[in-house]
Amino acid sequence: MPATQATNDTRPLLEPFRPGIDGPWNRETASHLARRATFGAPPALVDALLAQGPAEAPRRLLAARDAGDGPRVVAETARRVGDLETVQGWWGYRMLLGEAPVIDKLALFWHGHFATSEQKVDNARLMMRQIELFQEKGAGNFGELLLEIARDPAMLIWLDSNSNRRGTPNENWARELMELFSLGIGNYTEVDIKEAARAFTGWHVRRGEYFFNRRAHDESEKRVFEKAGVLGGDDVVALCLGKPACSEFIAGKLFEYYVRLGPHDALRTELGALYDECGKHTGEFLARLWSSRVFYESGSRRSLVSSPADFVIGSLRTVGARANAQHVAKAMATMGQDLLRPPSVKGWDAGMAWLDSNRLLARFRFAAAIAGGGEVQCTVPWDELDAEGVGGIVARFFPDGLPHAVRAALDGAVGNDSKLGLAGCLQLPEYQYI
Amino acid sequence: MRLSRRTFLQAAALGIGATPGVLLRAAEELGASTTGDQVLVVVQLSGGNDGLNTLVPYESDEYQRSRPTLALRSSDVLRIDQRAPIDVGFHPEMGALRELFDAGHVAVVQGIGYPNPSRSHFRSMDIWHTARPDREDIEKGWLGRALEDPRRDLTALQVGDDRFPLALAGEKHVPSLQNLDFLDFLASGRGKDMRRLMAAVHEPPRTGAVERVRGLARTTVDSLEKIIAVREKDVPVEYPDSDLAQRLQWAGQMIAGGYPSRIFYLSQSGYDTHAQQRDSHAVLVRRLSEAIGAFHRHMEATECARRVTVLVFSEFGRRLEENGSLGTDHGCAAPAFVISGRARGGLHGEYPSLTKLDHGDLEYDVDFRRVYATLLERVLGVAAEPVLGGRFEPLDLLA
Repeated sequence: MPATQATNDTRPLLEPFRPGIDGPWNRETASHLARRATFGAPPALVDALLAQGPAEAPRRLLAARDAGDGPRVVAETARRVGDLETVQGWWGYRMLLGEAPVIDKLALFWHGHFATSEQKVDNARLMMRQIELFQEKGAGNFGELLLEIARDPAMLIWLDSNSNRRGTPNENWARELMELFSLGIGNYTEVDIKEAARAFTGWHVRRGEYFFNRRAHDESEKRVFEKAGVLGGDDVVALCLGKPACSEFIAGKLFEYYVRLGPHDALRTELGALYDECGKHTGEFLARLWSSRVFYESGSRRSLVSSPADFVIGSLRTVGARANAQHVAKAMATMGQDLLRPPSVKGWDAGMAWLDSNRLLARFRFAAAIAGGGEVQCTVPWDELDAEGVGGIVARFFPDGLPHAVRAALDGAVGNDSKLGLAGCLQLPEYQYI
Repeated sequence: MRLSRRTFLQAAALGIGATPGVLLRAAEELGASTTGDQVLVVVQLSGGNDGLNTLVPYESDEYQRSRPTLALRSSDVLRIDQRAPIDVGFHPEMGALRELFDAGHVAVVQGIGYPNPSRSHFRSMDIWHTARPDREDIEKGWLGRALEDPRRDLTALQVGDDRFPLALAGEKHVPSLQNLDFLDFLASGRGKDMRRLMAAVHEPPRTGAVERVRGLARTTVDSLEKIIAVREKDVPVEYPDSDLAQRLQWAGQMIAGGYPSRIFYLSQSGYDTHAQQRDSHAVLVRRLSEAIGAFHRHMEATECARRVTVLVFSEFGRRLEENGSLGTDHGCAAPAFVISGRARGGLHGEYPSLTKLDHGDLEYDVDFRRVYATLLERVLGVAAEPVLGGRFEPLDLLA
């Protein structure tokens, strides 16, 4: 197998992965795609991806947009009841049992990107609406998504938009739009932020809906990124989108969420170019990314620390378990990912930040719980798993197997007890990576 | 055997990302020695405890009139027989605390608060945590600053899954003991298989990034074993069944087991009783009272009662008038409690006036920083002025 090109030439990294030439295409690679694009790797899904092949499989995954009837019913209840736990449970249910986990994993990315917290918004229905925006438009054009989030009621409340008025601008939204949502630090100046804030004056929320408060809007000349004129909010969004830094920033974040952390500068530039080539269409970009050589190269395998969502939802999906979605959301919160309540507008820190002693303990606790500890109400198909044996359970999580000494240690502690076998797999250091 | 400072700091240094939620590690050989050092246990009641229905001015017409459905009857209240301008008693469900009070172990500080009170949960709790009502930019807590005192080798421990309190934030890293249900499970017979499994899967060395995770996990599991060893020791009293009781039991076993932390910080949540207050508040104060009662008996039985002091406080009290939802809204002054084997039991301060109100709320009598000064100097042995940013006269709460 030819070695991947040195970092001088990054173009080949984004070119399509050629099965049998760039590497094997087998259960391990198909599982890798499943774990990254969705949550976990249930055998039936892995079978399907394996059969479809690396070029077709991502497109088929991205085409499944409908989560199904179950989530629709749960959504109605969540909208009616409208409290935090019920809405968290709705999303947990969709992630776990919905038929479009790709969409929910991507929605989780956008939730971390446009991080808005119910703790301040104090309105779970509005938060639900924001998540639904990510589910509906997250795989579409980024520009469209950005225009919509700028008018999202939860976001307007979160960033104090009603305080942004002609004469007394509030820079909160303008700053985060540039720094966190579209460009990244270093690609704008303080003056750009100040001027942009004036362009967004009057973008208010009233009774849970966006409305343009003309009396509060500053209609005078502004100058953002060297463009002068009577600029409004939509103009500023368009200007942000027009900067090359935007595609590089967003593509880079998607890469770090789906492939590995820390792409070097040359690769970032290529990723930005690819995102532009795809017309900033996230779904199209991901189809290309998930079928590329860099996605399957060894440095990208088992290279991401699993988020609590990957750990909890992924485990349950991989064994085909059903569970109480609110318990699932609570378990994720103990591991540091409280849905709808990111710690700040910067979202959640990934990588090793997911793992400290208490968070690891929370993961071990969950592992013990689904193996029969009782804290999480769930139904695991033990008959099926018993028939597969501990070896079969291990194979679901580690198609390529485990190092000999590790497997021996696991077998020694577990025997042929499926419950302990499942718990053991989830507690392995190897399993904290996807 | 004392946990040496170096070991403790080594343990703290293993934390990844230096997040405050790092489980205690290297809890070495917790023997049964009493170190003789005074310990402060802070119990935070989150949400704003209704002081009027905790320490009840049962004879007051204003009280009865303002709370048509919530006022407690003088025949139900647990009266405190003490000469006082306003007759007071405990909520009927607080029998356990009343017993401690009768034995002289509870100092009640009436009308505690601070100038220009905030009725915002976040702001008022920040004020209690930082002890700086005049500033909004303080990032260190009063206990965090106390921990920095160079003459004292103080350490602290948060017990429970709540957010890490600003009160403990400072230069020194403070670990927190979480996932208590899981720890209890592991300490029970049913947990043995799981403990063996956790040890086994982390035994073989790995390579690369996975080895780093293995190292962290291995240390976590090792410390877990030491902490579980604390939990497995017999407890001489029966604790009731509540989150607070579980946390106090853990704290009690750590203290009795010789764990050298001088400060334990715990919370009980649920006190923001805007609606349907009667039953929910009754449950809360009953749990509080029974948990504190059990904890004090635990300390007495292990000869620790005279060196352990418990502070019970809330970020504010609630309004005199009940609202339209059979509850009460955010208020100001309320009582705080200091429980110890060396407490000068009784009522301290004055009950706030129920006629002269501040926008419908009780006005404070004792600045809470005086209680902090008392605890800093008389329990932790730390100079109060640098911590509080000013001089506050301690109260005579402890012998």
